[in-house]
Amino acid sequence: MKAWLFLLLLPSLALAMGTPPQKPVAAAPGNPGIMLRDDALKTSPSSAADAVAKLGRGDKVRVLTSNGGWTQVYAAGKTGWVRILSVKSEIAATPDLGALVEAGNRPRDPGRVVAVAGARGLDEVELKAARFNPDELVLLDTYVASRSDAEQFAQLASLTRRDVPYLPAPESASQSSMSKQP
Amino acid sequence: MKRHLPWIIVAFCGIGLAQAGDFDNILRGLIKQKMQPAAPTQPAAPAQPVAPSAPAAAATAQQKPADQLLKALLSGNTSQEEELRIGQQISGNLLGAAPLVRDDGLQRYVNRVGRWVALQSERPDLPWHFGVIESDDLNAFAAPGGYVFLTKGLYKKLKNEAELAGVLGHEIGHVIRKHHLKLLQKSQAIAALGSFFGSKLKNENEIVQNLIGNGAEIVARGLDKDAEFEADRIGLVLGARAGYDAYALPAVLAEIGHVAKNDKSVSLLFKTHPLPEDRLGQLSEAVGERLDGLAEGQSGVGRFYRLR
Repeated sequence: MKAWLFLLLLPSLALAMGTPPQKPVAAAPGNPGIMLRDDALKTSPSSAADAVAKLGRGDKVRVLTSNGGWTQVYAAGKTGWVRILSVKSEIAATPDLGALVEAGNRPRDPGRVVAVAGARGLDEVELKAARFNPDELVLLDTYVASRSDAEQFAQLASLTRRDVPYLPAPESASQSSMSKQP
Repeated sequence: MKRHLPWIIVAFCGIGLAQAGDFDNILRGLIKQKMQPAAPTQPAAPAQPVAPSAPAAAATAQQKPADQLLKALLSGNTSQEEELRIGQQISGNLLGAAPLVRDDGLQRYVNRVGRWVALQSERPDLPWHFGVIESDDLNAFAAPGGYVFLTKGLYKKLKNEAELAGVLGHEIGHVIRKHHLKLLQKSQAIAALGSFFGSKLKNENEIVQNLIGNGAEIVARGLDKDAEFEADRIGLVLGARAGYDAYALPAVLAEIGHVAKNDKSVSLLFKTHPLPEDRLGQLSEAVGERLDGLAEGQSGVGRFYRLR
């Protein structure tokens, strides 16, 4: 009898422990976001993946997570992936704890405490007080990669040149002498 | 107004503050070095950087070139060598504040990736130098003539080679569009005007002093934010040209956007750059549908050099 009851409970337990809820239950998942352009909602973070829906510019979505150049969103009852530049999170920079702690001092293991204790910043005061260090420049010089070195290195990873024109400044951007080519 | 990259200027005012008396010597030394005909085959690599302590030979005779440099800056006709001298000086100062991470493998790796990305630009044959510097801050810097640095803190945030390429591409963008030279040039213009309308006619030394004084002003101002947006567009494109995932730089920006705004590690970055959200918004608008036909690039995650 008791075992039977337990079995009944199992599915809900699994549900509770499973992947993040994909439907808004009490609170909607993720953060509010808005589509900046029309884009396909893909089943996985890849341009080769199937599209499960079509989202339009201005559509409200919930931003769940990101993976490289892709953002996972929940919209119209579906969860999928869009290009990172297609969607904008409306909550600016939710400070996620991981990043926050990582950026600060995170003595993860005792061995690291020493290093972290001496965490180095690089602020204006330090930069102003900086003294020319010729030895570092000499060292820097020893790491220089020649053109052929770099080309060979690219070849090793099958990186091939592609023809991509420069992007013009968007119309909304204010024009200044800085944006013009010399 | 967003301030930016004060460090170029910072470098100058660093000289001004920390070694005011040495500045003329440095500049003279630099210019002198420039005046010596370099072997044509020898890339203008700073194999022999000029230390502040370099003897200021023939002090008076060397004042002319200082004037030339100022004139070059003013007219916007800085030669590549002059550009290099300035960049070398700034880089030497920066490295004085934050030395290179002592990891040969890392530095070589970054130089190869960086050079490959720079090869996709219109200045492929500058003597490009890339370095990861000892700092837990998240930041990256460029100096005229092809010097690019990123902090260890930022490097550790990167997930793959494509993201590194995007970050380096952004800095390469500053170099190839001469953003910092233009910034200096602006301050020179002010300095020169000040000199002109000031009572006494300036000799070169006084002009140099003026330059330093004005440099401090620029620290508070920094680069135009449009220059940052432009560097983002260039960084994205250069990464894509190099065969990497075009969306890697946006991914880095999003990642940086997750850091709390008041975190110490991003204070200088956010002081000198538009916020990541704004940069992403600008990139989004600039990209539009332009990359829709582009084949997926590589992430290069497999050989990404990870820091312990």
